[in-house]
Amino acid sequence: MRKIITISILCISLNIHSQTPQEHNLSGNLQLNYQTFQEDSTINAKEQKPYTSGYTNLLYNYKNFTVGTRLEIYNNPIDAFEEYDGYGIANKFIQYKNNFIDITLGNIYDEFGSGLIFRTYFDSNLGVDNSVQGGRVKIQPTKGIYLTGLMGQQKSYWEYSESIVRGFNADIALNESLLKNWQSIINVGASFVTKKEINDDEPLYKLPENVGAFNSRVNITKGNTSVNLDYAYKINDPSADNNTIYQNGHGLILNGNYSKKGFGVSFGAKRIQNMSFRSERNAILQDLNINYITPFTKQQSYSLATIYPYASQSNGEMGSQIDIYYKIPKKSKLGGKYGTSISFNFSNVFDIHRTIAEDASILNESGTLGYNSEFLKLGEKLFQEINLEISRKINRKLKLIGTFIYLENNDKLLKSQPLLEGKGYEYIKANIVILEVFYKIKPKHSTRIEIQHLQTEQHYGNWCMGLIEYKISPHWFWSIQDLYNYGHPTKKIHYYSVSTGYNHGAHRLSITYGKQRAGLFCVGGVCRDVPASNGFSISLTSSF
Amino acid sequence: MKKFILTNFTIILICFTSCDEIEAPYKNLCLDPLACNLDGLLPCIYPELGMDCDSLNILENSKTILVEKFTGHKCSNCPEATRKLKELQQLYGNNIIPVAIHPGSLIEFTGTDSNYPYDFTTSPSDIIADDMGAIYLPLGTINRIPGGNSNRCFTKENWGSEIHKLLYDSEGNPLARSFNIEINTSFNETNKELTIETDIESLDDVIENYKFALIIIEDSIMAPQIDGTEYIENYEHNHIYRCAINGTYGESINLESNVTLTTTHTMIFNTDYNSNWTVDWNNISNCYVVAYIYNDESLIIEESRKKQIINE
Repeated sequence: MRKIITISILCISLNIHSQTPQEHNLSGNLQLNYQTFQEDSTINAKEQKPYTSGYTNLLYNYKNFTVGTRLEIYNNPIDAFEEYDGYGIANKFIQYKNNFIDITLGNIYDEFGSGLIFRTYFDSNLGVDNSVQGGRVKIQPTKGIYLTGLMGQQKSYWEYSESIVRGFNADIALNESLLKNWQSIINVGASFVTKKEINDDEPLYKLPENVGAFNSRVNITKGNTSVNLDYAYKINDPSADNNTIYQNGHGLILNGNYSKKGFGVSFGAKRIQNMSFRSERNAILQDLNINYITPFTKQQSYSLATIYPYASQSNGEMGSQIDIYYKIPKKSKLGGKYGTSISFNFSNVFDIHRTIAEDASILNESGTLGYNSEFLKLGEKLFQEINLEISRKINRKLKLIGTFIYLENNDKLLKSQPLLEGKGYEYIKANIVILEVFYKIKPKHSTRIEIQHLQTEQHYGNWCMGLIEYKISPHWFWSIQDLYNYGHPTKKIHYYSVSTGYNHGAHRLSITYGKQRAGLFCVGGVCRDVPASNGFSISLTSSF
Repeated sequence: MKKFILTNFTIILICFTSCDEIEAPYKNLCLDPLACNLDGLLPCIYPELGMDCDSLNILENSKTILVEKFTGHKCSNCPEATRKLKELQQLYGNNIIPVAIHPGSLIEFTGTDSNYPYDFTTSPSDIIADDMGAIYLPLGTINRIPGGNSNRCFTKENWGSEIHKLLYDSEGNPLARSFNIEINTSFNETNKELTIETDIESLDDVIENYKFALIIIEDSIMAPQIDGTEYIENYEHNHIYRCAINGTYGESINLESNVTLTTTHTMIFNTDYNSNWTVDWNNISNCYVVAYIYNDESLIIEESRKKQIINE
């Protein structure tokens, strides 16, 4: 009964329209999903009770005050989300803000710098909500100086960790205070975050009660060019992630960007060593992460390009990425009437190099420093990807996007892919070719076609994929797609699905029936293993 | 006002931020390694309370904890859990009894092929693994207490603290056991028949519904194992669950306070009990009987005992 009430509240909130007299404002958004599951032995999908999930965010502003809350419900969740089973208020806060001070009490989402030592956020698709429940004070003592202090306990599903997280962050825009006449824009920042975890009855190891991490960063922008350097250091933090070793953590991220009209290039390099940082040392998977390791691989959206994703390795990785964008001018020989866009992306990630520490007998031995690592020496390659995308508008009705991807995924070390019976983890190499076609049939009527092919001699072998979507703007769309794993060594499997949807302003309803493959679902280098499924799914999203 | 806020803001931040750098050695070391005979690893958890190595190591009247380790020969992280369990054995000695279970449902880690030909799985241990929540590896139950990472399973980092909580109270004093279990075995070399006589005595006044289970475990099985990225052809597998003698979850027992209940069971070491116990099999000297008593409602194991079948 109470679940029905919660769902009703979620739905009723759709009918609450924002009121915008000068001093009052109510706003929010809503998402509601319903999914059925039928048994399908061909894809190892289990039959289970329908899964309902949803949330609604409500924000009420009155003068300098903001009150916010989020109601959530998860009923019969799938395997990866079972800890969320339940419903209730998942987030609540009250905030007072003026030009000098910003005070928040309740569940806090924040990020210091790029999140290398502190980032709390909510992602319903990934099932991540690591907000800190406590207090936060932000002060701007003078122009260009921004200070933040916060303290609280991290959320873990419906409960809160007993560990206490405390953080301090300072951002200084030097041009606003000291270097007012400089042409270069220089911003610097520093953060310090600690977690206090009571040592329970661990008998074998001496464990630190307080673990601290420090981060400093500088960003310099001049004209079209900007450079950003981010460094983090964490003291010994023996944990389940690092097999209880006492190595200090280091993180270094360097980014550079240059852009002008029709051309842009960005470069990034990073080295991460033992930078897993959680409220509780024995937390695993996506639980109680205090920090966030920025991914240096391209965020893919095409279906076949998401099969072999890369998840950030907080224990150690060295990576680089370069992105180049160029638009061949329109009405040129190569660019054609409307111009042609070319984007190129290259990224690679290596393990850090490790040798056995003096106090250990094997690599990464518990209760020791674990390993020695030379700063610039590479370990084994973990991942590499080359992306080339060419987008060209042929005429007023037709636009084509062609993509080629070559990837290498060292699943021998990453161990993230489902295994074939009788086979071990493999080093996977794959070539992916994608053609996307947009065609305008008549005013408001358009179609989109995707043809994809993935070729690999490893793992599940070759895949092909086709999608046809028909859209009547601005309200309706229908689509049908099939992913066919025709190169699977033992069973050729079709993952077909049909979808339809209706949009009206900020409201969207979509219905899908079909099969979903098992595998890693990743957003921004953070991944969750989701099981195969076959059935209906209905999704409603809205904002008001 | 702004100055006041800034000053307080700074003071509060300074007061509340700190960190502890741990200096080597990182393990709790034994005060007297020779007395402990434990390779320098200690039982000296509460030296400030005047407890020495011997008093903690003997723990005559204290509990014995059953640790079911879910593992797999294709599980690269599992040997790390085995090393952890070995450290805990060094610390707690005979007060913990490890049992290694290879869950058949996790076929990607426990299945057989040309590189991993040895089948460690058994039907009863598959049922136990599924019931306890062994959905990935390595995991382990600690006396099957609830509240782990998956149903009753804990990751290896939690094993030490959970064992410790079951063995000691908050003052560091050993907790007394509720049952005495004594196992006597006789083995007929000719027909490989084992007779097990078990004496069970409840030391508590309040008698609840209990069940009593008998299993056989085997040490020193040489078979392949992946360890990290290294394939080890002749890895020594120990504490391997081989068979249940009186059913997967044992049998109900009727106990009276301070009255000894004696049970007798027989079994034969043949392929009916375990597919690896063929006529050529000859490893009886590394086999043990494990007996445990658990609460039929909470499913928590109250006491366990291990006895080598043939004392050399």
